[in-house]
Order: sequence, then C-alpha cells, then structure tokens
Amino acid sequence: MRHFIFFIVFIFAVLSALYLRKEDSVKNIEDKKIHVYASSSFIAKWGAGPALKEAFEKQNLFKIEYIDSTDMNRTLEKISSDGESSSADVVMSLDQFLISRLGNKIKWHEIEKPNHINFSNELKQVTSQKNFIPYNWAPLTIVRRQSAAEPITSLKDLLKPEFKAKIALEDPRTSTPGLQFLAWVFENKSSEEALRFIKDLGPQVHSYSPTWSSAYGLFKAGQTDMVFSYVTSPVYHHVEEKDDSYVAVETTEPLPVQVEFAGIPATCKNCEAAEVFVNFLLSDEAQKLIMSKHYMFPVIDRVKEGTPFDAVKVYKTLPIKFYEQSKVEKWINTWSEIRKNEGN
Amino acid sequence: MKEINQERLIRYLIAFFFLSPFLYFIYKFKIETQIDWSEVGWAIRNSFAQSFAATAAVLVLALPMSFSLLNLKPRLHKPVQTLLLLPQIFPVLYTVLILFSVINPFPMGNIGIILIFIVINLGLATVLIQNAVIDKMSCFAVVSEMFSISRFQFFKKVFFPVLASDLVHIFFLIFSFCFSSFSVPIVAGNGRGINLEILVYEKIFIDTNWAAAFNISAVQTIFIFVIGWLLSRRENPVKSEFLSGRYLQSFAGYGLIAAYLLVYIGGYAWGLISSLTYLEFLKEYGSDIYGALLFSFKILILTFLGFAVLLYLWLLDFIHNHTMNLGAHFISVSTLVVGFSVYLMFPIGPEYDLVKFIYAFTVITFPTLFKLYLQKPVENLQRQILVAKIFGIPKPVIVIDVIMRQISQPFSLWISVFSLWLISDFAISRAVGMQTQSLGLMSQSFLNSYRLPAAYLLSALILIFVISFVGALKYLMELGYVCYKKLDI
Repeated sequence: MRHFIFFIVFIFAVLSALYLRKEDSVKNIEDKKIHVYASSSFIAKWGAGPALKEAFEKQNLFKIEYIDSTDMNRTLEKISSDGESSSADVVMSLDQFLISRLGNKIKWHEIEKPNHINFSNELKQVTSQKNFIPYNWAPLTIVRRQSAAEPITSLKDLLKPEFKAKIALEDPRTSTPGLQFLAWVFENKSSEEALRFIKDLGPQVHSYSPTWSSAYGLFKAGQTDMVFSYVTSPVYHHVEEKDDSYVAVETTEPLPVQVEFAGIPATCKNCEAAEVFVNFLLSDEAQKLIMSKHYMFPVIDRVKEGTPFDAVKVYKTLPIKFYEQSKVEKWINTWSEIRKNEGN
Repeated sequence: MKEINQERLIRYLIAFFFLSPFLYFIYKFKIETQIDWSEVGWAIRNSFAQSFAATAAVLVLALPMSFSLLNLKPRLHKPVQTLLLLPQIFPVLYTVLILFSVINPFPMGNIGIILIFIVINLGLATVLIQNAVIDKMSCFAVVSEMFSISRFQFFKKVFFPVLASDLVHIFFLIFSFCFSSFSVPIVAGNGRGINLEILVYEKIFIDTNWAAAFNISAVQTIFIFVIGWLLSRRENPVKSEFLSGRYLQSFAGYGLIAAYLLVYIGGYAWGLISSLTYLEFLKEYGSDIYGALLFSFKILILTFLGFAVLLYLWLLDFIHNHTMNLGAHFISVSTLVVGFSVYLMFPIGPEYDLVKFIYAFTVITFPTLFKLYLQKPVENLQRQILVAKIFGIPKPVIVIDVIMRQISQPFSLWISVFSLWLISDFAISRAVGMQTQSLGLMSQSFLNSYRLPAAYLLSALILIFVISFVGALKYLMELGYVCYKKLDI
C-alpha cells in the first residue's frame, strides 16, 4: 500500500515539474497571441474562423488562438469569474439577445471603428454601438419548398389547417433563432394577440428543436414542410447543392433580424491587437470570407456585389435593437407557460 | 492503527473526490438554500411521470426478451448481447434520428420522450434481467417443471419473489437514467417535457441564477442518492449453477429482440450505408480526424488509468469495510453543474483539457458504470473475500486474485461501455469547455452543422476504434496477469 501511494505521488511530482518547466517558454509566445472566444460553428473547419485566422496572420505579427465557446452565458461567467487573470481578448458570436441579456455581466472595452466604413443601411441602428462591432447579419423568415401549393403571406397563414404539425421551429430557451421567432410575433402583434397566436400555433408546430441546425435537419429530412430560418438559407442550397427549390417567404409583417457582433472585454491582455482584429473583420476580405462560409449578409453592402447574395431580396425588417432583458425573459416565460399547459 | 487510518483516508478521499465539484460550486456562488418548490414540484412530477411510464414499459418488454437472450446459442449470445447494449451506449442523437426516420411524423412531447427512453434502455434492461436470472434462478425453473407446478404459479411463487429485489434495483437504475436525462426532453419534449435537469438548464441560461440551478441539481442528486442507498441494502446470495427450462423461454421475446435490433441496428446500418457516398467529403477532414483520433486515444488511456486507480482504491475500501462507499450511490449527477464547476475551476486552454475532462468524466460516470456492471459481481464475492481476509491474504492480492479474476466478464463489458461512452462523449467535453477536438466532439460538430452522413461515418470509426482498443487491452491484461503470476509478485 505504501509503495502504491509513493508511486502515485512520484507520478504527480514528475508531471508537475514538466508542466512548470514548460510554462516559462509559453509566456513569451502568449504575448503575441490574441485569444478569440467564438462559437463552435465559427471556428469549425467549415466555418469562417480558420480562413480568417490565416488571412489575418498573413498581414499581422499577431497570432490568433480560438477558444471554442459553446455557450456565451458560461463564457461570460468565466471571464467575469477570472477577472484580471482572464485570457479573453475578443468575444465573437454575440447577437442582440445575448448582448442585452448577458452583456452587462462583464465590462467591455470601447472600440474605435475606422471612419471609412460604409455599413449597410439596415444596420444603422446598431453601428453606433461603442463596445461591439457587427460582422454579419440576416433577416429570418419561414423557409419552404417552392413547390408548396398553399401560399404564406403573413404570420396568421401559419395557422391554416393544412400546416398542422408541419412547421419546424427552434426552442427559444436554447436557440437565438427561437427567440427571434418570439420577437417576430411579439413585435408585430399586441400582447393579447401574440399570446393567442402562440397558443393557436401549438398544433401547427411539429417540433421546437434545441438548435437551428436540428430544426433545419427535420425540414430537410422531410419531417416538416417549413422551417424558421434565414432568408439567406436558399443561397446555401443554390451554391452547395445546386438546388433552387427552396424559397424564403415574404410576409406582410416585417421580419426579425439577427446581427452578430464581436466585443473586447475590458480585462483584455492584448487590447490593441484585439482592436486590430475586430476592425479586420470589417475589411472586404474578411467580410467575403464570413459571407461565403456562414451564408449570412456582409455588414458592408458592396462586398456582396456580383455574388449570389446580391440577388437575395431583403424584405421589410423590424428595427434592429437590443431588447431589454426583462422583456426577453417575459417572452420566454410566456412561451414556457403556454407550452407547459398544453398537456401532451 | 496505521493501516486503519490509511483505509479511512481512502474512504474520505473517495467521498471528497466525488463531492469536490459541488463544494467548489458552493464556494464560488455562495449558495442560498431557498428553493421555489412549486416549479421544482412541477418538474419532479413531470420527470416522475415520464420516467415511471418509460421504466415500467421497459421492464414489461425486457422480461420476455431476457428469457430469449439467455436461451440463445452461445455463438449468437455474445454478439446479440453486445448489440442490445448499443442504444444505451450510443449518443442519444442517433436514437432520435433513427426513430425520426422510422416514425414519421414522430410524436413530439411526453409520448415522444417516453418512446425514446424505452428504445434507449430496453436493451440494457434485457441484459441486466438476464444476468439477474442467471445469478438467482439456479435450477428453480426446471424443478418447478418436474414437480408439475404451472407456469403461472412458478412466476407467482418463485420467479418474482426471488427476483423482486433485482427487478426493483433495475427499475431504479433505468428510472434514474430517465429521471435525470437532459438531451431527450430537450430534443423531443417540444418545450413540454420539463424535468429537473431542464429546470437546471433554464435557471442557468434564462434566469442566469446559478444558485437556484445548484439547489435544483442538489435536490435531484439527493433524491437519487437516497433511493440508491435504500435499495442497496439487500442481501447477496451465493451464486449457484443456472439451469434454464421451458418456463424461462419466450418466443415473443425472440420476436421482440429481432424487432428491436431491426429498428435500431437496422436504422443505424441504413444511415451508415447511405452515408458511404460521403466518404469523399470525410477525406477532406483526414488530418483533423487523425488528430482527434490521437487525442481520443490519449484521453482514453489516461482516463482508463485513472479509473483503474480509483477502482483499485474502491475495492480496497470495500474489502476493508464490506460495504460500498457512498460514492456508489452518486449516480446520474448533473452534467451541467459538474461540468460548469470544472469549467470554472481550471483556466481555459488545450493544456488543461486532459485534466478537466478526466476529472469531470470520472465524477459523472464512474459510479454509474460501477453500479451497472461491477457492483453486483463484486458483492457476490463477499464471502470469499471474508475467507481470504481470515487467512491473512494481503488486500492487493485479494483484489487481483480473488476479485478481478472472477469478474473478468463483467469487467470486460465495463471496459467496453466505458470506452464507448468516453470516445463518443461530447456533452461532458462541451460542459468543461474542452478545446482540443476529440472524435466525440467532431461527431457532434458534424451533427450540429447538418453534416449527418459524416457523423454516421465517424460513429462507425468510433466503434471500430473502441473494439480494437478493448481487444488489445484485454490481451495486454491477460499477458500482464501471466507475467504477474510468473514473477510471483
């Protein structure tokens, strides 16, 4: 027994010594690194992350190190908990909802934007923000197959008996497109109407999936006739699958818009370098990369010229805003209560 | 005296190890004890209804299936048993996808949740009931036949009374898996199937109320802990030779096994075959997959070593105290809470991935794996251990020569399930904020980005990898034991 304990202590001592020895050499390299926290889809091989890193590192001395941030709530809690010792230089994959709900968990560094940037008109409301820089956007609507006979021109059309259990939506507790759907309903209807609409919508919905991708997967697998997705989704099928049979529906109600932002925590280590990186996101080169990998609109209009995105009609949209946290919570709680009481 | 202190130290260390993420959480968030019992009550009621209905259905179906399984020819028995365990071992998403393709439209909501629970746990329950029958039924079925006791009377007077405690035990195990499930209600619940784990999630991600999340998680853990502890106080009869008989045969069971495997394995195989055209796409990821494979291998070896050390200490403690330590009832703990605690405990970066993952994976899965596959076989050896102790055989020798030699079969099953859980894991990896790509994380990224065929192909790679690893490990362990005997350590 004594030998066993000695053996374990010995192993741990050797490992600790090796680790401490390594730490000194690591410190020098760390000074040249920008730690970028971003979503898994952004830093995946098919996302814009790797290509952006390559392009940025070609032009700069700094190296990008991505930190996979599956969930922004946890990420911001971690940055807040680590305080001055936090390694986060840039946080990406933030949208209006995340910023309004969680943005105040930590302090943010003010970002000086380049003067010459000509943001898309649709984004004017959010570009004056001093702490966050938008880097892509897209309105959301119902996406369906072109062959579908029954027309949809407004939200109330979703209640038609033909669409019973045919709509794939996202769960607003776990997915921001799910929250955007609630915004679409609550911002276009009075509270009572919205409440009634969500209640009536129950039987029409096939499923509230935990993520946008699972909802889209159900739609693609033919389990549903339509899905709540981005107006740019048909471009994906056009480019990747040479399939033009998908269409984004235009409704009389203005559509909700998702904008993705990058921010720099006040506790950043390489703050200047972080600022160079977030401003790089607004360069034509970076915008093209983001657009082509994520199938979202660039924030600078000229970038989409001559691309399939140029042909996508931007329907009337809701004003882009950072909703109050209490308002968003009220929407989710209302939705949750209705779902809970629907029985099976 | 010194020896006694060492033994106590081991018991306290094990308890501290399993409690440490929770203690850290309490330290970090200054937990208050206020709980909103109305919402917790709602979630418990929901969890209870779903879990009870699913577990009852699982046991009813698993009984005839277990009779057919134990009567299968030896050549068929092992592969069928392994296939039956796959739904419990594979990520839930596969089961969901398979069911979605078989049942269209899939009944989302409580029915959907129960259906998925049944499919996930049916194979496991079949194997567990079969093991209990082999352990306890001895030659009762044959003797009942010889004395012309009717089949009904046999089940009423012999079978159920003898197996009652095992059936309750299996019921509780399946129940606790369903009770604390997160992914099934979130995928198939349509916002209706709120259970405790989802309430924890809502507290964290909607209300950002970590204290409330912790309290609810504590309620869940204590609930399962108490039931587990109460049920663990059962007798362990001496195992005797088993003889099957006509009463322990079921033709319906063969049909059920065939249908079950056809739906699950057939659905999986179909998904896999139709994904073969995607091989070209997967080639683009060759270097990433190779990197993930190497990392998964490293993590597998190190976690296995960690598990082996813990198992050794656990068994030493059992030999000394003749009761399982409290960690044995620490099953189905909240992945969200343990994962987040470990996430906060360590800095973020690839250099911490190994230690974070091994720590969280061990806390979350070791007690469950032990309870599922090793606890009963070890408890069955209690009298032999006592005799060995009386003869003054050193405890390490008891562990190797008395226990490990006799539990080699459940131990190899334990290793197989451990390896598959570990290699295909993405939930714990995500929860602790792992930065290095493993095979499980890659597979989930493919699933999440709607690259389903790639996920299927990767799952086949995971299976091949695990089968090779388990085969090699078993060979090495046999070799090690032969050397140990030759050297007379």
